[in-house]
Amino acid sequence: MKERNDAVAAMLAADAPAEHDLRFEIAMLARIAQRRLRRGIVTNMALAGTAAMLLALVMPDLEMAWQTQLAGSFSNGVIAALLFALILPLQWAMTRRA
Amino acid sequence: MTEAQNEPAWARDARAGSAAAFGQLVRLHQQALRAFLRRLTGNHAEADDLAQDAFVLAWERIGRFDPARPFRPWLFGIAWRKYRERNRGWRRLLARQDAYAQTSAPVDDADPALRLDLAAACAVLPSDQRAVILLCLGLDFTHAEAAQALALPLGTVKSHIARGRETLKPLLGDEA
Repeated sequence: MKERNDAVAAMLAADAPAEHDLRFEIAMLARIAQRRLRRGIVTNMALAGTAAMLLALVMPDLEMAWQTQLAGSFSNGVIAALLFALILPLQWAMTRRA
Repeated sequence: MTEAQNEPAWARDARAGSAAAFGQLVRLHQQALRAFLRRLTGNHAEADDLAQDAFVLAWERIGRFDPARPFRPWLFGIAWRKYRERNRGWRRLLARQDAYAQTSAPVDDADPALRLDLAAACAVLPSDQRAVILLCLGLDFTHAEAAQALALPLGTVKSHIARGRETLKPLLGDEA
């Protein structure tokens, strides 16, 4: 059920801002961007910290595998490309909605 | 097609992650939301700050919005909760203010309060009642939409309107 009253509507209209207020919209978009940036930084720091810890944990095994198997099969460039291919989509997925 | 008719599609697109669609929703609702908050807070800067907070939170939580329901009560509900949160520190003051407003005699023809304009009369209503009056009488919300936005039972919304109308009767004109 609706029960609009013209006097109350007029009172609100008298105090209302402009229908299109670019300054307000820009300020709001800036606030969203700031929060997104802040969240992105926190997410990236957490990701980087986790990756560093995992890498430190598996480094002895990696070193061994590198020495015994991979060094003869792949060039450094191919391994770097593989790592990028793994990390970039993961990073994109983690920060997409941040 | 009017902007209001586009609202469900924009809400759906925004829910799917479209910032442009959300921008359209901001453009559609910012004026009413800010006017509502200005009347609630009595302070333009604070109201605009609250409105921005509400829009930012709406964007962050758009995934929780049910596209089968209207967007406007959901958005105003977020703004209302933000307003309540911000005033939490002032709860005792508000409670005193509400208690005073409830014990005050309603405006009648012989009362000097008649000289007050509608805005001043609205400002002394308890905050829940003021919000209901602004939404239903000023912004064309249905009772159900106001109940959803303010998280109040439907019966409470109706009684707030009845009491608010009674208090503001001399200032609302013939249609009240």
